[in-house]
Amino acid sequence: MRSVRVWFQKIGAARYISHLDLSRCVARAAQRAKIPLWYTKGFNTHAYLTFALPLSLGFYGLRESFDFRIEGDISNEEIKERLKKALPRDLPILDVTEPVMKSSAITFASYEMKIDCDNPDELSRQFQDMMKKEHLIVPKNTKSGWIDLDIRPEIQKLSIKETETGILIDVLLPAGNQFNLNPSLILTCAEKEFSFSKQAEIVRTELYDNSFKKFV
Amino acid sequence: MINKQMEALLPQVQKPGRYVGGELNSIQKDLKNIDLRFVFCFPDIYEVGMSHLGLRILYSELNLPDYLWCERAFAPWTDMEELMRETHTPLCALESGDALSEFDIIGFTLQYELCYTNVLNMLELGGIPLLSKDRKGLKNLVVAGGPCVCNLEPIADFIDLAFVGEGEEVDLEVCDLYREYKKRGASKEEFLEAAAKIKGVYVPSFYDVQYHEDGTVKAITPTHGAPQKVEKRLMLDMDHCYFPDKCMVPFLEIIHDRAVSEVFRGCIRGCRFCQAGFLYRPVREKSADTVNRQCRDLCESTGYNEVSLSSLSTSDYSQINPLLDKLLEWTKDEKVSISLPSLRVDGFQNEMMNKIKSVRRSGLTFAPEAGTQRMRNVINKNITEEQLLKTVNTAFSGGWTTVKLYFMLGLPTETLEDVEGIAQLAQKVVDAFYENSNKPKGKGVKVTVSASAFIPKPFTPFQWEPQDTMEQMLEKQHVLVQSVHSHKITPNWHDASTSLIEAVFARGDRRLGKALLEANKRHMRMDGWDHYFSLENWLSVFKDCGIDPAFYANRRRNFDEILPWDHIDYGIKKEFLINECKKAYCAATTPNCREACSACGAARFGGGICYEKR
Repeated sequence: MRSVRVWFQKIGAARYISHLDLSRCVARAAQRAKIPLWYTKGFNTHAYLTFALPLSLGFYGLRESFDFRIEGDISNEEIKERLKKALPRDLPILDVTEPVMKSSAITFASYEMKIDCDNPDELSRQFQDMMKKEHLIVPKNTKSGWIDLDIRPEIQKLSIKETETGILIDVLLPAGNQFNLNPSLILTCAEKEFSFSKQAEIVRTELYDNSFKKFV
Repeated sequence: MINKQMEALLPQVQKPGRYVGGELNSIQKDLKNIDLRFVFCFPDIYEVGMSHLGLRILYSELNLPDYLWCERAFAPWTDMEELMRETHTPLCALESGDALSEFDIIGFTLQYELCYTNVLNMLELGGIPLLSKDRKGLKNLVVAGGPCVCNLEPIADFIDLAFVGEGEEVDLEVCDLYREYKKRGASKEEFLEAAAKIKGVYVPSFYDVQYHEDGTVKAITPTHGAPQKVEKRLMLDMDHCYFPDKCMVPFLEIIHDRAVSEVFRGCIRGCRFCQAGFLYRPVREKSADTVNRQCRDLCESTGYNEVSLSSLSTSDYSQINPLLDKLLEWTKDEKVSISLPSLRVDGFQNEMMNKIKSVRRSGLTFAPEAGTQRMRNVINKNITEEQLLKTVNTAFSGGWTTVKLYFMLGLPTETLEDVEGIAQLAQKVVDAFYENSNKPKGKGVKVTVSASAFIPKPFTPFQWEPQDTMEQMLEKQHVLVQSVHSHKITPNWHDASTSLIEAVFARGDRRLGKALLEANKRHMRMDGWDHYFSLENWLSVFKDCGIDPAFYANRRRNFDEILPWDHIDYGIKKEFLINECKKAYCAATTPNCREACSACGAARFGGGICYEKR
């Protein structure tokens, strides 16, 4: 028995698949691909499958991963080829590797937020002004109810580019199972600060550990 | 492909996965090669529609010809519907993301009567005129199929063409014809006249219906050269009948989330309340080899780890044990479990039980349908109390502890004693558990009694029978609950008010079209969902349209009355149904098709069980 880490993207229609549904979808794909999964020995036997970090509904994920355990002789290359064929087109497989870090090592994530608008200059300035503030308080739903959270100190890095059709925000935020900040909170904040009301296309581009090394 | 307008709404709704498509084995085609665009509409939400085997078969089949692209559309849940109305976003097909109004043919499957308001709502959301007469061109032809077509009359004003019987062949014939007529720029009427000549095609606008003063039908007269009677289509050779080797695998968890293989069509039994048992005659089986191959193909192409052997009564499949043996050869290694829905009380044997048990255990459900022997003879259920007790004992010895029993309330000739009999029968099942020395140790028994309301349906021996009134039904439900004396028994019942509306539309005529239109104006939909169904709203619609629901639901009809569906022919002779109804009154049973032929008329199709050796 050994563990493998499968790298994939979540794009197109697949972005709207919830975490639970995605997990079921991958389990079925593995079955179709006849990958010799290791099954738990419990009463209701099932394959062992874990995702590095769930992705919010609607977000693109450019470098997502899940781990499963396999039994028997099969190369990573072979797993990759078989899974490629078995998954729907909006869940493309990038690579299959040995897991190096534990998923609990994930501490940060980088995101891109694409916002279409008619006057990129103005919108960009509004976001920049907002970022100059010392505190940015937003309501956040936690396990113990709604709290007022100051997200300003949590934003590690934020840069804004103007494009032909709007703006592109690059942001680095805390992520992982200890403390996770959803980038859409920045938009919630913008709503409060300057009545921002546009939709953003949000892409999770990469995951990092606590020393900003790429999650591998 | 999600269109931009729709995508903007997705973050605001529950389960956006319902609206995005892109599932494994869903089909994308290049529009420039397409002559005919078809959208298969299921008038309920995604999770319900995607569980439907007919949709899966016809979707794959309609996509076989290169010139044809069949897409799917489902009723949006009410949160999405509200947003669509606010933002003027039309209802779209999942594959292309194009609005329904872009399609040549818009096909609905009508599985049950309470979906009619959803059909109208979907047309409206798709930007399509509701009434057939308001759709002048050949484009946006609205067609329908499914069991409700046996009495399409209540919704006939909205449908241009319907398929009577099984759709596999006739759907493609109509599409071929449409393509030809579209190419030559023909009118809708020209096309419909030609289509009405195809066997199994019903064009409602080609039939004039006149009524007597008392409201009953006086005459149904065909026009435009349409046939006097529309005869159903059916597949005779099930082994060579189309079945997809690949079926779609939804991302969302749907209601029946498993691979489904059909083992036979029809039912040998002839229970007198059961419409499906008469509509799908004669019984036509697939061979065990075919079913085994199809199950394996499905599991391989979908990755499902459960396969369900579907039919109206799977234990009546003559090859059930050989089939299970073949299936077990591979299912065990591949960790696939087999489920057998629709088991009969008398068809559950030790041998079969051990075979299913070897993979995974699911609950056991049986349908005695009635509590007393007299009542079961009236409905021709042909099972005895001894058989039921023997079966549950087998199950208890095999380790099962939960049993669900289905019954009906309001059956013809039913008395309160028969209702009490339901609770008594359930009690006997509980007692049997405790008297069984092989019962699972340290466990209690749980018996769920589920009582639904009897709804008389067209093409059954009870098509002339009145339904119990709401008051009678409520009294019977009360008596049932009062007669249950053990906390091991959980009685459940079905809301009698939905059954009343279902009964009205099941045996209604064309004058109900007015009520459907009015219901649509009042934004009534999702009637199949308790939360949205409202009896008050329906009664108020009927009142304002001058319709008496009791005329359709609670009136005893004469055997010589012209029924609104008399111009539709499912191959069962009316005299046979009358005779069956009379036999019901004296609690006389009729043998099943495998024991003896009762000359129902289905033999004229020239195949199936009617020609098997007995």
